[in-house]
Amino acid sequence: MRSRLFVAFSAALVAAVVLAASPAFAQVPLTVNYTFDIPVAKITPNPCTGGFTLVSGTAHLAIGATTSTTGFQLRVKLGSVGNGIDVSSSGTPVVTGLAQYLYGSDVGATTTFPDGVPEYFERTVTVNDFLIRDSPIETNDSYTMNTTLRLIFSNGLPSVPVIDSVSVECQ
Amino acid sequence: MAAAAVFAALMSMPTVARAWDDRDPNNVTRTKQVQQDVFFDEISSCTKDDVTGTAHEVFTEETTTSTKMTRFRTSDNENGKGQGKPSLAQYQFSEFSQHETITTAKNFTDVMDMRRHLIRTSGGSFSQKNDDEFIREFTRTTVRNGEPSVTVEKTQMECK
Repeated sequence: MRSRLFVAFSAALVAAVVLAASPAFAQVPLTVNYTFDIPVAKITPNPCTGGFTLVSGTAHLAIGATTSTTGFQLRVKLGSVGNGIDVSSSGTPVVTGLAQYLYGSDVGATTTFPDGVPEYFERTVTVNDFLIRDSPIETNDSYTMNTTLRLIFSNGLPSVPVIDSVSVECQ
Repeated sequence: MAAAAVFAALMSMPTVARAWDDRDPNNVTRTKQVQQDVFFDEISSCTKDDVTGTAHEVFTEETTTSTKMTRFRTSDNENGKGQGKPSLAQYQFSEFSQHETITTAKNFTDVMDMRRHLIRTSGGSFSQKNDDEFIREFTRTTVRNGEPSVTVEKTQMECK
Protein backbone atom coordinates (compact mmCIF):
# COMPACT_ATOMS: atom_id res chain seq x y z
CA MET A 1 0.00 0.00 0.00
CA ARG A 2 2.83 2.33 0.90
CA SER A 3 4.46 2.08 -2.52
CA ARG A 4 1.10 2.68 -4.22
CA LEU A 5 0.59 5.80 -2.16
CA PHE A 6 4.09 6.86 -2.96
CA VAL A 7 3.51 6.53 -6.69
CA ALA A 8 0.17 8.35 -6.56
CA PHE A 9 1.50 11.18 -4.46
CA SER A 10 4.69 11.47 -6.49
CA ALA A 11 2.68 11.70 -9.68
CA ALA A 12 0.62 14.55 -8.25
CA LEU A 13 3.80 16.19 -7.09
CA VAL A 14 5.42 15.91 -10.50
CA ALA A 15 2.41 17.43 -12.23
CA ALA A 16 2.17 20.27 -9.76
CA VAL A 17 5.86 21.08 -10.00
CA VAL A 18 5.81 21.05 -13.77
CA LEU A 19 2.71 23.20 -14.12
CA ALA A 20 3.88 25.76 -11.62
CA ALA A 21 7.59 25.88 -12.07
CA SER A 22 8.31 25.41 -15.75
CA PRO A 23 8.28 29.12 -16.62
CA ALA A 24 11.05 29.76 -14.11
CA PHE A 25 13.48 27.58 -16.05
CA ALA A 26 13.45 30.02 -18.92
CA GLN A 27 14.87 32.70 -16.65
CA VAL A 28 18.44 33.35 -15.62
CA PRO A 29 18.97 31.19 -12.53
CA LEU A 30 20.26 34.03 -10.31
CA THR A 31 16.86 34.15 -8.60
CA VAL A 32 14.45 31.24 -8.80
CA ASN A 33 11.11 31.22 -6.98
CA TYR A 34 8.63 28.37 -6.98
CA THR A 35 5.25 28.45 -5.26
CA PHE A 36 2.76 25.69 -5.83
CA ASP A 37 0.09 23.57 -4.17
CA ILE A 38 0.29 19.80 -4.03
CA PRO A 39 -3.01 17.92 -3.59
CA VAL A 40 -2.71 15.24 -0.91
CA ALA A 41 -5.00 12.20 -0.77
CA LYS A 42 -3.59 9.16 1.00
CA ILE A 43 -4.72 6.36 3.27
CA THR A 44 -2.64 6.03 6.42
CA PRO A 45 -2.86 3.43 9.18
CA ASN A 46 -4.44 4.91 12.31
CA PRO A 47 -1.99 3.90 15.05
CA CYS A 48 -4.50 4.73 17.81
CA THR A 49 -7.58 2.83 16.63
CA GLY A 50 -5.98 0.12 14.50
CA GLY A 51 -8.07 1.29 11.54
CA PHE A 52 -7.25 3.59 8.64
CA THR A 53 -7.62 7.28 7.87
CA LEU A 54 -8.12 8.89 4.48
CA VAL A 55 -6.07 12.06 4.70
CA SER A 56 -7.13 14.77 2.24
CA GLY A 57 -5.56 18.17 2.00
CA THR A 58 -3.05 20.40 0.34
CA ALA A 59 0.67 20.78 0.79
CA HIS A 60 1.97 24.19 -0.16
CA LEU A 61 5.62 24.20 -1.15
CA ALA A 62 7.68 27.30 -1.78
CA ILE A 63 11.31 27.16 -2.86
CA GLY A 64 13.40 30.26 -3.32
CA ALA A 65 16.99 30.55 -4.52
CA THR A 66 18.68 33.92 -4.23
CA THR A 67 22.13 35.18 -5.09
CA SER A 68 23.30 38.20 -3.11
CA THR A 69 26.45 39.85 -1.87
CA THR A 70 26.48 37.43 1.09
CA GLY A 71 26.46 34.39 -1.15
CA PHE A 72 23.77 32.00 -2.32
CA GLN A 73 20.66 31.25 -0.25
CA LEU A 74 18.05 28.50 -0.56
CA ARG A 75 14.73 28.84 1.26
CA VAL A 76 12.25 26.00 1.58
CA LYS A 77 8.82 26.44 3.15
CA LEU A 78 6.44 23.51 3.33
CA GLY A 79 2.98 23.91 4.85
CA SER A 80 0.14 21.43 4.96
CA VAL A 81 -3.54 21.65 5.90
CA GLY A 82 -6.37 19.15 5.60
CA ASN A 83 -8.63 16.61 7.26
CA GLY A 84 -8.95 12.88 7.79
CA ILE A 85 -11.93 10.53 7.88
CA ASP A 86 -12.16 6.96 9.17
CA VAL A 87 -12.03 4.47 6.31
CA SER A 88 -11.44 0.79 5.68
CA SER A 89 -8.13 -0.40 4.22
CA SER A 90 -9.69 -0.06 0.76
CA GLY A 91 -10.68 3.56 1.36
CA THR A 92 -14.40 3.02 1.97
CA PRO A 93 -15.73 5.44 4.62
CA VAL A 94 -16.52 3.81 7.97
CA VAL A 95 -19.31 5.18 10.16
CA THR A 96 -17.88 5.61 13.67
CA GLY A 97 -19.91 8.50 15.03
CA LEU A 98 -16.64 10.33 15.65
CA ALA A 99 -15.74 13.69 14.20
CA GLN A 100 -13.23 13.98 11.36
CA TYR A 101 -9.56 14.68 12.03
CA LEU A 102 -8.07 18.07 11.28
CA TYR A 103 -4.41 18.88 10.79
CA GLY A 104 -2.23 21.79 9.81
CA SER A 105 1.47 22.40 10.11
CA ASP A 106 4.43 24.04 8.50
CA VAL A 107 8.17 23.59 8.37
CA GLY A 108 10.85 25.79 6.92
CA ALA A 109 14.57 25.82 6.28
CA THR A 110 17.03 28.41 5.07
CA THR A 111 20.49 27.43 3.89
CA THR A 112 23.17 30.02 3.14
CA PHE A 113 26.31 29.28 1.14
CA PRO A 114 28.86 32.08 1.59
CA ASP A 115 31.10 30.70 -1.18
CA GLY A 116 28.36 30.88 -3.83
CA VAL A 117 26.18 28.32 -5.59
CA PRO A 118 27.09 24.74 -4.59
CA GLU A 119 27.48 22.21 -7.38
CA TYR A 120 25.27 19.78 -5.45
CA PHE A 121 23.00 20.11 -2.42
CA GLU A 122 20.51 17.55 -1.14
CA ARG A 123 18.36 17.76 1.98
CA THR A 124 15.47 16.17 3.78
CA VAL A 125 12.48 18.15 5.08
CA THR A 126 10.05 16.53 7.51
CA VAL A 127 6.51 17.79 8.07
CA ASN A 128 5.07 16.86 11.49
CA ASP A 129 1.27 16.81 11.18
CA PHE A 130 -0.79 16.36 14.33
CA LEU A 131 -4.15 14.76 13.54
CA ILE A 132 -6.77 15.61 16.16
CA ARG A 133 -10.54 15.13 15.89
CA ASP A 134 -12.69 18.22 15.43
CA SER A 135 -14.62 17.40 18.59
CA PRO A 136 -15.39 19.31 21.83
CA ILE A 137 -14.59 16.19 23.88
CA GLU A 138 -11.33 14.31 24.23
CA THR A 139 -11.33 11.13 22.09
CA ASN A 140 -7.81 9.95 23.02
CA ASP A 141 -6.97 8.93 19.46
CA SER A 142 -4.91 11.88 18.24
CA TYR A 143 -1.77 10.95 16.36
CA THR A 144 1.17 12.41 14.52
CA MET A 145 2.05 11.78 10.89
CA ASN A 146 5.59 12.57 9.81
CA THR A 147 6.18 12.95 6.08
CA THR A 148 9.77 13.37 4.90
CA LEU A 149 10.49 14.92 1.51
CA ARG A 150 13.91 14.76 -0.16
CA LEU A 151 14.98 17.78 -2.21
CA ILE A 152 17.94 17.89 -4.60
CA PHE A 153 19.51 21.07 -6.00
CA SER A 154 22.01 20.84 -8.84
CA ASN A 155 23.93 24.07 -9.39
CA GLY A 156 21.17 25.83 -7.45
CA LEU A 157 18.31 24.43 -9.52
CA PRO A 158 15.76 22.20 -7.77
CA SER A 159 14.64 18.89 -9.22
CA VAL A 160 11.39 17.06 -8.49
CA PRO A 161 10.93 16.48 -4.73
CA VAL A 162 10.22 12.88 -3.70
CA ILE A 163 8.70 11.40 -0.57
CA ASP A 164 11.35 9.66 1.51
CA SER A 165 9.11 8.19 4.20
CA VAL A 166 5.76 8.44 5.98
CA SER A 167 5.36 7.35 9.60
CA VAL A 168 2.54 7.58 12.13
CA GLU A 169 2.60 7.48 15.94
CA CYS A 170 -0.26 7.47 18.43
CA GLN A 171 -0.15 10.23 21.04
CA MET B 1 -3.45 19.00 -26.15
CA ALA B 2 -3.12 19.85 -22.46
CA ALA B 3 -1.89 16.33 -21.72
CA ALA B 4 0.74 16.70 -24.42
CA ALA B 5 1.89 19.97 -22.91
CA VAL B 6 2.17 18.41 -19.47
CA PHE B 7 4.10 15.45 -20.91
CA ALA B 8 6.46 17.80 -22.74
CA ALA B 9 6.97 19.80 -19.57
CA LEU B 10 7.65 16.61 -17.63
CA MET B 11 10.33 15.65 -20.11
CA SER B 12 12.02 19.04 -19.70
CA MET B 13 12.03 18.84 -15.89
CA PRO B 14 15.49 18.14 -14.46
CA THR B 15 15.67 14.59 -13.14
CA VAL B 16 18.81 14.75 -11.09
CA ALA B 17 19.82 11.38 -9.70
CA ARG B 18 21.10 11.20 -6.17
CA ALA B 19 24.83 11.78 -6.27
CA TRP B 20 25.68 10.03 -3.02
CA ASP B 21 27.32 6.60 -3.26
CA ASP B 22 27.33 4.48 -0.10
CA ARG B 23 29.80 2.10 -1.76
CA ASP B 24 32.44 4.76 -2.41
CA PRO B 25 35.65 3.22 -0.92
CA ASN B 26 36.79 6.71 0.09
CA ASN B 27 33.85 7.20 2.47
CA VAL B 28 35.03 8.05 5.98
CA THR B 29 32.46 8.39 8.76
CA ARG B 30 32.83 10.14 12.10
CA THR B 31 30.11 9.98 14.74
CA LYS B 32 29.63 12.17 17.77
CA GLN B 33 26.95 11.48 20.35
CA VAL B 34 25.87 13.62 23.27
CA GLN B 35 23.62 12.23 26.00
CA GLN B 36 22.34 14.56 28.66
CA ASP B 37 19.58 15.05 31.17
CA VAL B 38 18.03 18.47 30.74
CA PHE B 39 16.05 20.11 33.53
CA PHE B 40 13.21 22.29 32.25
CA ASP B 41 11.01 24.87 33.95
CA GLU B 42 8.61 26.78 31.73
CA ILE B 43 5.19 28.35 31.83
CA SER B 44 2.73 26.56 29.53
CA SER B 45 1.13 29.05 27.17
CA CYS B 46 -1.93 26.75 27.01
CA THR B 47 -2.75 26.19 30.67
CA LYS B 48 -0.49 28.77 32.38
CA ASP B 49 0.87 25.88 34.42
CA ASP B 50 4.45 26.16 35.64
CA VAL B 51 5.80 22.87 34.25
CA THR B 52 9.00 21.47 35.74
CA GLY B 53 10.66 18.17 34.93
CA THR B 54 13.61 16.41 33.37
CA ALA B 55 14.19 15.23 29.80
CA HIS B 56 16.78 12.76 28.59
CA GLU B 57 18.28 13.75 25.26
CA VAL B 58 20.42 11.70 22.90
CA PHE B 59 21.85 13.80 20.09
CA THR B 60 23.85 12.06 17.35
CA GLU B 61 25.84 13.78 14.65
CA GLU B 62 27.32 11.74 11.79
CA THR B 63 29.64 13.21 9.18
CA THR B 64 30.71 11.14 6.18
CA THR B 65 33.19 12.48 3.65
CA SER B 66 33.42 10.89 0.21
CA THR B 67 35.43 11.62 -2.90
CA LYS B 68 33.43 14.69 -3.92
CA MET B 69 30.99 15.58 -1.16
CA THR B 70 30.05 15.38 2.50
CA ARG B 71 26.95 13.92 4.13
CA PHE B 72 25.72 15.36 7.43
CA ARG B 73 23.17 13.40 9.44
CA THR B 74 21.73 14.46 12.78
CA SER B 75 19.21 12.74 14.98
CA ASP B 76 17.71 14.01 18.20
CA ASN B 77 15.79 11.75 20.55
CA GLU B 78 14.18 13.39 23.59
CA ASN B 79 11.99 11.86 26.27
CA GLY B 80 10.77 13.83 29.26
CA LYS B 81 8.18 14.05 31.99
CA GLY B 82 7.07 16.92 34.17
CA GLN B 83 4.43 18.15 36.55
CA GLY B 84 2.44 21.38 36.36
CA LYS B 85 1.67 23.78 39.15
CA PRO B 86 -0.87 24.59 40.39
CA SER B 87 -2.89 21.95 38.47
CA LEU B 88 -0.63 18.99 39.44
CA ALA B 89 -1.26 17.67 35.90
CA GLN B 90 1.34 15.34 34.37
CA TYR B 91 3.09 16.35 31.13
CA GLN B 92 5.26 14.32 28.82
CA PHE B 93 6.99 14.54 25.50
CA SER B 94 8.72 12.02 23.30
CA GLU B 95 10.24 13.33 20.11
CA PHE B 96 12.51 11.94 17.44
CA SER B 97 13.78 13.98 14.54
CA GLN B 98 16.30 13.16 11.84
CA HIS B 99 17.84 15.33 9.14
CA GLU B 100 20.18 14.62 6.28
CA THR B 101 22.15 17.01 4.12
CA ILE B 102 24.54 16.07 1.30
CA THR B 103 26.58 18.70 -0.47
CA THR B 104 29.76 19.62 -2.27
CA ALA B 105 29.93 22.88 -0.28
CA LYS B 106 32.53 23.11 2.48
CA ASN B 107 30.94 26.14 4.14
CA PHE B 108 27.25 26.74 4.79
CA THR B 109 24.71 27.60 7.46
CA ASP B 110 21.36 25.84 7.71
CA VAL B 111 18.47 27.00 9.90
CA MET B 112 15.67 24.47 10.27
CA ASP B 113 12.31 25.51 11.71
CA MET B 114 10.13 22.73 13.13
CA ARG B 115 7.57 21.95 15.86
CA ARG B 116 7.73 19.79 18.97
CA HIS B 117 4.78 18.53 20.94
CA LEU B 118 4.25 18.74 24.72
CA ILE B 119 1.35 16.49 25.78
CA ARG B 120 -0.68 16.89 28.94
CA THR B 121 -1.43 13.31 29.99
CA SER B 122 -3.60 13.87 33.05
CA GLY B 123 -6.43 16.30 33.66
CA GLY B 124 -5.51 18.16 36.80
CA SER B 125 -7.85 21.09 37.24
CA PHE B 126 -8.11 22.08 33.55
CA SER B 127 -10.28 20.90 30.69
CA GLN B 128 -9.04 18.08 28.43
CA LYS B 129 -9.17 19.98 25.15
CA ASN B 130 -6.70 22.52 23.85
CA ASP B 131 -4.08 21.76 26.47
CA ASP B 132 -1.37 20.24 24.26
CA GLU B 133 1.38 22.70 23.52
CA PHE B 134 3.43 22.94 20.36
CA ILE B 135 6.86 24.47 20.65
CA ARG B 136 8.59 25.93 17.65
CA GLU B 137 12.23 24.93 17.49
CA PHE B 138 15.01 26.41 15.38
CA THR B 139 18.00 24.17 14.72
CA ARG B 140 21.03 25.97 13.37
CA THR B 141 23.80 23.94 11.72
CA THR B 142 26.97 25.77 10.81
CA VAL B 143 29.57 24.01 8.66
CA ARG B 144 33.02 25.56 8.30
CA ASN B 145 35.64 23.75 6.24
CA GLY B 146 33.48 20.63 6.47
CA GLU B 147 33.18 20.70 10.29
CA PRO B 148 29.60 20.98 11.61
CA SER B 149 28.33 22.55 14.82
CA VAL B 150 24.69 22.55 15.91
CA THR B 151 22.70 24.81 18.23
CA VAL B 152 19.00 24.69 19.11
CA GLU B 153 16.66 27.52 20.10
CA LYS B 154 13.06 27.07 21.26
CA THR B 155 10.07 29.37 21.30
CA GLN B 156 6.53 28.60 22.44
CA MET B 157 3.82 28.51 19.88
CA GLU B 158 0.22 27.23 19.97
CA CYS B 159 -2.27 25.03 21.80
CA LYS B 160 -4.27 22.10 20.42
